[in-house]
Amino acid sequence: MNARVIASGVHQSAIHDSAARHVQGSALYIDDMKEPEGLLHGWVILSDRAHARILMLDLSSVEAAEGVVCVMTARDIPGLNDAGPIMKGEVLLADQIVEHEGQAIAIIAARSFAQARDAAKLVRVTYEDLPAYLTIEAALQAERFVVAPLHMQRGDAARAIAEAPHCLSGETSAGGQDHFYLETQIAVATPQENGEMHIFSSTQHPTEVQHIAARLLARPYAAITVEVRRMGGAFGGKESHASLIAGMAALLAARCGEPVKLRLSRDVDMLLTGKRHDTLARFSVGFDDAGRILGLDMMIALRAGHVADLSGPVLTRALCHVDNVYWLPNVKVSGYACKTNTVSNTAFRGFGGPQGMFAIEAVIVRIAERLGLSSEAVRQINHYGPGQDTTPYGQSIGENNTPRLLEELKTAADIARRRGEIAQFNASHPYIKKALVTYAVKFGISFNLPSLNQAGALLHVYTDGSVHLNHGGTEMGQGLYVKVAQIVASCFQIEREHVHISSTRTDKIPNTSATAASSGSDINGMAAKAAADIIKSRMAAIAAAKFGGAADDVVFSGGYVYLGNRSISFPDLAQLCWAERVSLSATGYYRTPDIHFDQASMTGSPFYYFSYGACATEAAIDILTGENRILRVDIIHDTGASLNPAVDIGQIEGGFVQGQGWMTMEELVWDQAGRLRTHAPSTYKIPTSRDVPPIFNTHLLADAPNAKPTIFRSKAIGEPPFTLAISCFLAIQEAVAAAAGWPAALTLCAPATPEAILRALGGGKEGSAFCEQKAAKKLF
Amino acid sequence: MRALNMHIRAVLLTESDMNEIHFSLNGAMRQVSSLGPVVTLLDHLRLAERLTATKEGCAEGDCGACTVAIGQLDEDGQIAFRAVNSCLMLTHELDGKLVVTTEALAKAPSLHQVQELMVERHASQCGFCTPGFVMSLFAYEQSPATRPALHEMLAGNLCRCTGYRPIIDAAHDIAARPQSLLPAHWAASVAALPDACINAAAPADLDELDRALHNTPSAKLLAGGTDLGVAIAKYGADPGPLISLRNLAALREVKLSEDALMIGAAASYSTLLPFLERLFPAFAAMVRRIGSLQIRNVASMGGNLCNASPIGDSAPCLIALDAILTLRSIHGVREVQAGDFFAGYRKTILREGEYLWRIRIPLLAPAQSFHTYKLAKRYEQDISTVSAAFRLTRDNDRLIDVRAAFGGMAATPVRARAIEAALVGGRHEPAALLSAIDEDFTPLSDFRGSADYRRQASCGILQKLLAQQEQSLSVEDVWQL
Ligand SMILES: Cc1cc2nc3c(=O)[nH]c(=O)nc-3n(C[C@H](O)[C@H](O)[C@H](O)COP(=O)(O)OP(=O)(O)OC[C@H]3O[C@@H](n4cnc5c(N)ncnc54)[C@H](O)[C@@H]3O)c2cc1C
Ligand code: FES
Ligand code: FES
Repeated sequence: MNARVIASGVHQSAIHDSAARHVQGSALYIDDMKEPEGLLHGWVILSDRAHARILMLDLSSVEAAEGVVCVMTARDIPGLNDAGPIMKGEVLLADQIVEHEGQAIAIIAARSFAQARDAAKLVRVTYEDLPAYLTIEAALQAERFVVAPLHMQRGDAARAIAEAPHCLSGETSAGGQDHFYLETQIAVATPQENGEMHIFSSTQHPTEVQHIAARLLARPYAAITVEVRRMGGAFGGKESHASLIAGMAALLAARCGEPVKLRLSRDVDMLLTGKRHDTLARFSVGFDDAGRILGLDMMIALRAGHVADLSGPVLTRALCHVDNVYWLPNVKVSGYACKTNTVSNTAFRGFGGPQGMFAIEAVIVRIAERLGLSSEAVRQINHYGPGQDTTPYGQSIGENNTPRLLEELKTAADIARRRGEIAQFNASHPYIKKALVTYAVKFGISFNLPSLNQAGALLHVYTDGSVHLNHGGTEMGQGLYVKVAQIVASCFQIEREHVHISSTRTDKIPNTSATAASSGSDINGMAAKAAADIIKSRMAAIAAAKFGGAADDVVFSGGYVYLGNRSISFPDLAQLCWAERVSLSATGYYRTPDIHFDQASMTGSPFYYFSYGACATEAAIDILTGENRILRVDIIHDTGASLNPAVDIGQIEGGFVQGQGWMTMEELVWDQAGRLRTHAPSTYKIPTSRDVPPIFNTHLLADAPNAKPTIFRSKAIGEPPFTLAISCFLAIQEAVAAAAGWPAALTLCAPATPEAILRALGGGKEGSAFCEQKAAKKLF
Repeated sequence: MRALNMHIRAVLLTESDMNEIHFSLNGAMRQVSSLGPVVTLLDHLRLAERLTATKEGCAEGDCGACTVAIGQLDEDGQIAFRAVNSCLMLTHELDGKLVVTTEALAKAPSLHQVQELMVERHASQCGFCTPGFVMSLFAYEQSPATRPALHEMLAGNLCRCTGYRPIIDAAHDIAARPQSLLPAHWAASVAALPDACINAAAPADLDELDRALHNTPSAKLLAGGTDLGVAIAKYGADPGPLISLRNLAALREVKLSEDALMIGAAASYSTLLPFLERLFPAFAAMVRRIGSLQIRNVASMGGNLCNASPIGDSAPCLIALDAILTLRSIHGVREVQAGDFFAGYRKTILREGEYLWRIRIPLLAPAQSFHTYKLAKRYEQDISTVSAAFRLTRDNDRLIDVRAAFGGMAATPVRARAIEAALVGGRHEPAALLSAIDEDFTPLSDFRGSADYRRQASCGILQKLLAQQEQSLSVEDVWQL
């Protein structure tokens, strides 16, 4: 036997399956698809009050406007007016009461997009304002929560703090973040015969769209088919909130009996759909002379917005990530999902994890400040280590890659030399200060809720040897389709070009989980492999019968199937299977083993394994204007045995820069009346190419296959690298400390915008100009 | 054309101006009635032509997903390309031009080299931003002599997935390669277009413009349309009658005389940048931070002044440079100081039927230097929180005159006399600077920055200016690191 291996299987840097179509503009997004005859265009009429009773809703002018075919309010919904993904009673269309500015109060369909948009302006609403709770603080004080508070506890934090040689209290906060996927939310719903509905939805969660559309239309799930080929970005924003858009399109389509496209304008998208939860954390911590945390009592409050949506699980994950890479012997963390009169926040890359991880760093730097230690020393001494390796919720962290990552980073990032240079620079420049931090992360992989960790795949081998692949995961740019195709190619040992990937559909793979929690390739890849293995064993049996021998000895390799010194090409064997009347189609199924979590006690082992990463980040600030820049970033990330190194590096870089935006410039601003002032790219700023660190080195941790038997020993990649960008904030904070001392630096909150930086330099107080303070010291 | 009954708003002034405009779309001739509706190029491409490679990400000129390349024949019969935002461009403005969209680049079976490099570099993830980047990179590839710096070229295209690194790498690759050949029929298709459509809605000389504006005083002038385009594309606003300046070469002239630079009000920033670069590098630096390359390729300084926004970035520069504006109407011509042009928040002193003709900037004397600062949340393509411009005059080492103007600090861009006095008078301590700022301004708080930040940062700007005068710093701001 002379086995060749295929060149396009797993561990290869295969190019994204749609790349050639992306660059030619022939990759179709929903708005690009050929429009069905009679297509109507939807628009959503939004509330412009944060909390109010609708006294009068006059839609007559809207109805009479040119091109308008149909106008619907809550009362016109045939089924339940409920779009809640978990909790009940989260209305799709406001009914009498509006709970945030931007809430949908009516939907319309017209002959053109412009007609629908123009007609919507003719609505007349009279409101009676109700008291609005606009901030985390206001909701905390009023004890308004969307889910019951959560408490996670190990040991006796209060006692440990009381008995510790040192203790301190502090507070920090981080802002929210809009997903700013480039493709705004969109769906096309087309009525079929017999009350059935087909929906193209730009969604990470086709099954949930199916369920919610069915609920709104009062139809069984089986009557609704949801399909998605690709999204123009999602990042969590199209997990639960895609159902709102698809649900509205389905309602209008059912009512009009015509296909309806609902494509949100950028402003409507940003007003109507949720964002990353902004966060307030307060804590007391007890520690020893070396900075070791002995006891930590922390409160984390998230702004949930007007309804729960996914805030419960987001909060759970926040609590499960407060420890990050740190051993917390005695710890109590309480979590609050605050009900405010702002749009309901939702899933966003990291799903609360980044918020929890951000909070603990405020503890670290305060300890460092109190003891006069470097923050790096305090991080170091608190790292998990042998015997100190269980999380606050009781899970063993398993393999701990942090020490190795940090060690390799020292050389990769040339840290010692650069620290010296930075000190020199800071001493010589009158108003620019730099700082360098090293930072390590650990991120739990699996949905916190065990039942979500399951996936299915459907595989057909055709008699020419080509393969058709479906799985429950959705493609939002993260490279899931190509990775799963690589997996199937590797299983059958055929080149990937023979594996055809088609859209994700609820009628092909039922009852799926969202493509979220970084789990896409872990679970869908395993399901696809299971399907491939079933078909392979059938094919092996036929090969064994043909050649005479045991099926166990049959080897698939390089496009051929071998038994001893005899071989047959993969297509010929497929043809032979057909002739022998053997099925070449199979479904595969996977559920993640070994995970459990008790939500009541907040204990268990919710994560199948942990992903690790580390980075060294250098920032510079201008102490006169607050302008700042990330100058250099070196990352080493643990991807196990990467399924596709190029795709993984893309996820790391893209995740990092997105996190950099969250930490440094993206700012959601609400006015006093609870109106969002930043709801388009003219006012909401995400990083541009100039903001990318000019030196940006990304390495994958070499020779580190996952200790757990994951798909080809790889590790998940979607979310963990996002959290590395917390280092941008930390580096800027150190630079503030270098200029104005740690007490001032501790007042810095995220995002570290020029204004936030300048305020921190002035000690955090309005009106106390840093320049005034420095006047005495004669800055120049 | 069902989908096109979107904006039924006459662009033209009278029926008698009924004419056809012609352009080449990817090498094929197209004609549109000039009395047609106001349709953005993006809608025209996606809805009428069903060319869907070009995407809408924002409809306000900020994301670049809608980028296309517009070509015009230069003197040598070669096509000169520039990237523009099709979401803001009105289709009529294409009269006589070539539009190239992503669809037209590849010649099956091979990709265009720009596309090929993007694929090789793994520079697309979700791919929604990709056609826009491809067109920006294509325009860049096609203009080796006038290439802007790399981030300047990329700043108008947002990508939320990749973190840009692979796109930046692809751009470096492109810069290192010879430009690719264009299909021959593109240039031929432009050469074959009929003469420009000239009428009252698109006059060809200033007298006609005077008359048109006199006859329809409510008409708005359409220069680059980046300001008007936002209202139309994003809000579906009815702009009312428009008079396009596209045929008015006389309004786009940029001329250097012995003692001044003369800028036609409708000259695009990209045309005038080389002049500023040479004569007022700090002014050029400010202009390079106005919008993005796509915006600067069409937007004009005249439009920037006439929309009278408090954060218009060229105004502080012009005020500090003592620029003179020439206003014109059928009744004649008058001149005003740039500082006297603004009547209030979003108001100018332009009278009915009057327009801005040109801007005259006196050259700097040898003893003078010019300095600008722009603060925003983001470096590229962001509206100023505070902007400032200073013209310093020295007698040997002594500062004898300062002309200072600020944007973002008041209802209009405005001269800062107390600050000027403090700087000339040597009152340079932070407290003195702050009190001068307080004397000149009572800034507002908004989502771009609080009043407090605006005054603190203004103080920072002044300190920076002084520090840069006192010491020669090799690094003046974080972007030079
Ligand atoms: C994405 C984006 C980013 C931007 N960034 C910036 C920025 O960073 N800094 C900044 O200052 N501005 C910015 N702008 C605002 C604006 O586009 C620019 O100020 C631009 O210079 C306007 O020029 P224009 O030729 O496109 O104007 P147009 O839209 O053609 O015209 C603007 C207004 O001026 C009138 N007008 C135009 N020319 C004349 C004339 N000669 N006489 C009388 N009236 C006239 C028009 O009728 C209209 O009312 C930005 C705009 C966009 C869309
Ligand atoms: S659609 Fe965003 S710039 Fe045109
Ligand atoms: S690849 Fe998704 S926005 Fe750029």
